[in-house]
Amino acid sequence: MAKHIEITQITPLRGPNRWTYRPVLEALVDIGELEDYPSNTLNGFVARLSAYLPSLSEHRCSYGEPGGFLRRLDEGTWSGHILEHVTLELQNLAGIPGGFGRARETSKHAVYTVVISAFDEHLTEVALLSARDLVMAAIEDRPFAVAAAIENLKTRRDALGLSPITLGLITAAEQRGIPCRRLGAGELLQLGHGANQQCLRLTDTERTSAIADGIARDRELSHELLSSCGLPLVNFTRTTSVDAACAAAAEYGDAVVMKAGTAVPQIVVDPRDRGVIERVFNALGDGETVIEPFLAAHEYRLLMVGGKLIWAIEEPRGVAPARPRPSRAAALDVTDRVHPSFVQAAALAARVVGLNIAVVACVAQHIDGSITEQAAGIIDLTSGGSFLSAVMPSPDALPRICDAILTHLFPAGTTGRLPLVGITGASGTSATAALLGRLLQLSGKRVGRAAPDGIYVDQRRLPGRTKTVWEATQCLLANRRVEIAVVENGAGAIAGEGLGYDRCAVGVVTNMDPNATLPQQAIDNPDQVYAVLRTQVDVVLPTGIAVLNGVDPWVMRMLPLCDGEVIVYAALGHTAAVIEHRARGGRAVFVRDGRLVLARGAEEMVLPEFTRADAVSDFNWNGDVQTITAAAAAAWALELPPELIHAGLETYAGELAATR
Amino acid sequence: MEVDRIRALRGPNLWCRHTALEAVVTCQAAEISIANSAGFEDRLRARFPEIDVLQPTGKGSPVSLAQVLELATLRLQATAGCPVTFSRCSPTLEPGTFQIVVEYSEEVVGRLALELAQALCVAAANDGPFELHAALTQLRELDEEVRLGPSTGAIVNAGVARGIPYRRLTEGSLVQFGWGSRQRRIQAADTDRTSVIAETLAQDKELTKSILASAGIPVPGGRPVVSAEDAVAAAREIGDRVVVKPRFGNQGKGVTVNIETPEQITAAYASARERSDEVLVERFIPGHDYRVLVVGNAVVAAARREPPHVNGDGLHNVRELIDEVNSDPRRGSGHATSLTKIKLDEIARASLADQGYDVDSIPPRGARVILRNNSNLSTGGTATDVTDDVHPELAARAIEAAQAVGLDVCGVDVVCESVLKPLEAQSGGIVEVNAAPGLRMHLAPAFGKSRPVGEAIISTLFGPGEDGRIPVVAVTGTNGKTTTVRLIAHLLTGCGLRVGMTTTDGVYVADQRIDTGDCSGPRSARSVLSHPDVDAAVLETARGGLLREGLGFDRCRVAVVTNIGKGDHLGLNFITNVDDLAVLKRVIVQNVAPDGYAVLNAADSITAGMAAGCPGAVIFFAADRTLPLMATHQALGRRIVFVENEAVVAMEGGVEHRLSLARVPLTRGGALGFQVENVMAAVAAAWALEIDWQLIAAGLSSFNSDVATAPGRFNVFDYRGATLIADYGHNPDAIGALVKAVEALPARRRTVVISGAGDRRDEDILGQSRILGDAFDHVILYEDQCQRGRADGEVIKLLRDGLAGAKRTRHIEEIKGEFRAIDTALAALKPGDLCLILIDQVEAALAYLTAQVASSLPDVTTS
Repeated sequence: MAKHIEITQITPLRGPNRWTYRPVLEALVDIGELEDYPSNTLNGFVARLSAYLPSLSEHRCSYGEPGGFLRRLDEGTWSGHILEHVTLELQNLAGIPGGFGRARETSKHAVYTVVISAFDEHLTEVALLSARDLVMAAIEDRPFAVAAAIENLKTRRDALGLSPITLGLITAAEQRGIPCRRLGAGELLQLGHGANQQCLRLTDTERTSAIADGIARDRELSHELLSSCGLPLVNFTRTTSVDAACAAAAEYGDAVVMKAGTAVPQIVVDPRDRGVIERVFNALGDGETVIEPFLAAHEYRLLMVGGKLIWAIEEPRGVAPARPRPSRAAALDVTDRVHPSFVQAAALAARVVGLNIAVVACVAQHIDGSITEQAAGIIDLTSGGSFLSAVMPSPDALPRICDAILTHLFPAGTTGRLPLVGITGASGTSATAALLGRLLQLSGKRVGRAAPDGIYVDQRRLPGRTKTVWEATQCLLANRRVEIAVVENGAGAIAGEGLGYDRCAVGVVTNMDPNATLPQQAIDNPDQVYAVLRTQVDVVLPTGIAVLNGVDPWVMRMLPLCDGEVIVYAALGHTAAVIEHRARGGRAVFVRDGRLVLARGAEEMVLPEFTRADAVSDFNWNGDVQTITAAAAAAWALELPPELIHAGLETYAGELAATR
Repeated sequence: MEVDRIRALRGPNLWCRHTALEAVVTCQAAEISIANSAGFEDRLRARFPEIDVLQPTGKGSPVSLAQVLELATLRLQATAGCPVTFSRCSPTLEPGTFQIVVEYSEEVVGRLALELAQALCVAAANDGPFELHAALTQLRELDEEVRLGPSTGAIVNAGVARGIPYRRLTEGSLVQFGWGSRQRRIQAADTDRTSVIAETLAQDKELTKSILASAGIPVPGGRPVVSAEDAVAAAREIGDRVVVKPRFGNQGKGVTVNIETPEQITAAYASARERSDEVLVERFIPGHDYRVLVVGNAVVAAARREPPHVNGDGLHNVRELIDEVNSDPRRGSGHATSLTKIKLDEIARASLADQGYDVDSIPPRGARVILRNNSNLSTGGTATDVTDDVHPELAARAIEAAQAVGLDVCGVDVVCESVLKPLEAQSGGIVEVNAAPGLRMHLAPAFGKSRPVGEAIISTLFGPGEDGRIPVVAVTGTNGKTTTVRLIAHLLTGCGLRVGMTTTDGVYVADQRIDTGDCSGPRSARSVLSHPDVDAAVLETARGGLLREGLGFDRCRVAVVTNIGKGDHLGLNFITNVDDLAVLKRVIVQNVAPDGYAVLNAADSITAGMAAGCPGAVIFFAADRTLPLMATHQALGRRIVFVENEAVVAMEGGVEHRLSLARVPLTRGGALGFQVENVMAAVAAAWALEIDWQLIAAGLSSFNSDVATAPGRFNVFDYRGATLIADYGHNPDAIGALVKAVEALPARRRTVVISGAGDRRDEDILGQSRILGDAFDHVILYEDQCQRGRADGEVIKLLRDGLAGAKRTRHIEEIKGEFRAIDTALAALKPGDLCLILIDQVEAALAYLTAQVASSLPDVTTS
């Protein structure tokens, strides 16, 4: 029987999951007979594999140092694990970000779960399949076109159409802790969530005025506005024929600069030399050529973001009659040399036109001297996107530019996040989420809730087909009306899709069913279920709070995992977990004598008894106490005033009867 | 008749508050009265019956051809539909020469009307032809082309009604509202808050649909399909009647609606595929096309749109029916009118064919014949206002749609059976969102009420009570203008405002000079008012620009007139005497905001007289509070500013504020009377702006006036123990004030260096030296750089004549050249002497003087 590696199932986990915080592809891999053939038993396999991918020697694997993985190969490891490393390396060689990988046995013989970082799930799928072919070729001693496989991945990567700026923005957002998501297939990004989100495409932001963009494109009009504010300008004449170009050049008298499209501008020293002008005109070959007087020796581009200079480069210029160079040389970064007067002038120019992000083109004799004391002037300004795509910023400038754009949209200390409550558990999650939604609504903010039966905004169920939890969460967090979000995640959703958010302010875990299984994800023991549910606690922000059921020992195991604070809830105040947590000074919520108690360490705040007749009669402490304490604890975590928590419970707890 | 010096007065002016054309018209003797030309009036009326009655302007004065020209220019514009009513014809001192002024709403239309009116006059005089219809058509078409379109116009009118100033930035629809740091812009129904990203989203119909769908807004479900089979499959997924259409296309080409069977869908796919590579299958939403206009977070208007159609009458064919509909005067050829003509083109013919007609068919009475499957107004559609019918839930979805895409002004296209019910209750949907939506259908719907949508858009730009204005102080007068302007600007700066200032030296924004030269005209004023960094403006408003173009602003918060006195520059531009000058200078007073103030010099009777024309309140200032005008004003509980016990006192009713002159260096402790006047004017202006008194006091004491900050304004130097004063005063009042100031300073021997500007009247030049002769021992006369039209030696001769009979002057010298005159004066100075130098070339002379003073100082050795 032939050896084979069969990938039986590929599941994209698009958010935090039991393996990692990042999106991954989770594959079930059946290695069949190869289970009996670890790497050291396959003749010549390791050498062939190393020959295909010499850079595997860099992989550390469990030894934590370069060469670690090669040692594992020599010692003998199985094909699922090898497949993981080979996929990662192919992605790495193709310049696809992300280096997380795992390979784990399942309870089924010869079936492994292989997990790989998925910057783009389709790309990673291709990488995984290529890796499988590569490993099989190495096993079977067949040739494998490694370069072609990498090239294929690179082509697909480029087809995503993400410019360096967009990739830079994604990276910068991650570093700043700003949630970031691509909208659609292009470069449109959603940064932040709900009402706090900002969309942008390159340098086009929600604050970039369309009118200002139009003014910038109209050089005549922008010159008029700039000159009335006293800014020095570089004149220009548009020409569409050689005759017109010659006439315009002669008009300026002295040397002129000729420009067209993105071609390198050409200096013509003698404007009366018709031959040269004709040659340059034709070489620029754009139909419309702009003639400017030669005012100063150097041409610059100043990238202004929110009134600040972020990046400045010198623009190359050619001197005719040399042939105009078709491509641009690497930009010379002059950011540190720009005189404050140029920064002031560029900032004013952007303000006059109304652009929040602008590239101001200017000429100067010395960019490090005062603008008023030399021949200098502004050529024009643009909104920046096309410029940044045409001129690739250097690796040190790119992060600075991206960070400046993000800081402009999200000032330091803000991340565009909403107060987001994630709720998971084996049961009671729906009732808790619904009740919490009711309570939070009392804050006056607009509450959005993603639940298995649909999306609710302001208690209205949005129409539309049923979505997966992950999809519903994305819709909710893209909805600009939402000011507080509540998301209900079952274990199946976390295991099968990943969470729909990267971090949250409050994470609630109601309970865990140790006997649960998720056959689809090959999850069939309590530790695996635990790993799934703990994800909800892992993603709580350092400033956030986990709300945990003090009665459930599995849930209590999650207590130390939380980066932020923990509130323990239970029906009774003398539950061991409550007592222990309060002894550490922690917060707890429980019921005593038919009254809800909010405790912090030794301090207690006892809410009044329910007085409304229907609340008293409909209310069933025994049946609903878990839900009520969990929702109250989560509301408290979001700083809903206790009197509102009480009023909300009294008003809405009756609704729980319907959910029982 | 000759017409020249045609000027466009683009702001409030000598004649009126409207924009107007002004021209100088010279009539031949025979043209001074049209009564001289027999039958002229009849010929004129035959050619242009609408012209006004030719009424004489004064008792016994004849009707001149110039007046006919004026009336014709106005009436031609009015007949062509321009909203203009004002015109004037005014005789000048020269017989046969008139100034005519005619209001315009669009400058180019006014100019064309003036040309056509001239042609009319010539035709009437010579009994030649004049094509009135062609002339009016030409005017009307030009007006339609240049005036604001109905959408932009509605927003602008709403702004004007709220008192918000505006300025068109282009010939198109780009308009700036407000001034300085409070300015906002619109372009048609786009605002400056409409983002590039929202517009990009709105343009991508597929992306928009997915954003709306994910926000829970009903949209027609569906998807792109790749084949006829796929189309049938997509229709099955939708499970309802469908629309098959090309993904990229317009005006309903290749669209098949309301189909169900696989056969129909297959045929529809083929038809759509001819138009576009990508084909969409969407759920068919039965019902009407509605447009819901969302502004900010409210629905402000909604209209049901009907495709262009005609109703058969059983008598006329389709072509005739269309012609009849198109004869409606509301239907124009583009976007400039409230409706657009129905086009009879390929699409219309195809649409007719679908209904079994052609252009020559006579549809039966009552038949509704649709001419294209598109309800856009621009293709001849009509609209019915349904704003009051919109169900709140439907309105909520429209607002959510606008917000989901991020458009602050958004036209939401809804298809449903009725807006009386929620979309969800009738399987209606939102099919499109549009940036910069047209407003015509809401402003002038074919049926139903007009909606105040311009007002709604303006209120998103300017909050309640905001009018986009920054405090504007206009300053004019004969003397002291520049110092007063600078001092007011300094006081405003002290309040933390970024001040824009225009003076005869240049334009300044937050202390930075952004333009040089004489910048006291409307162009500079407009620069300052459109500068984004200006929080308050102080504008020196000189006569030249006011005459040339009118004011650069519609109204000011404070108008300051320092004085008129005996005047300056008289004799130019038909301003022949002080009264004419007063009429001109009071223009700023006449254009004070109703809640603003005029600051007027009560000691100058002409200035004080301007109070009558001020729409706002008046603050009088004068050193002497006992002047009858001051006393009366004070008794009435109004504001006055005067000097008492070496302090400037501001008094209103019984309340007073005192500012000690000892703490105002500009006045040398109150010794310089003319500077005290300037301080009073500035204090009154600051008071009018309700600046805190402590800030005013602090500003007065920190105000600097030296060569660097106020070149040519009483710059004092010490030269070898003698006092040297340089000033650019060139009229009798200025020199009178200087002499008074100089007399307040002790001196052993007094010298003055003076030239005379050639463009002054003889009597003014004579007057200057007459004053000096009584105050100075030694007078050095020099010839001005530019003689402004006079012969060499002429000015000097006049100055010398003025010195005849001088009480004090013993020694007179004549020197050629300003620097040599300065040298001569300096050489003769002894410690304790005083020398006043009336400089001409301000910057050069001051630089020269500064250098001479520096070189006279003992060398300082640095160790």
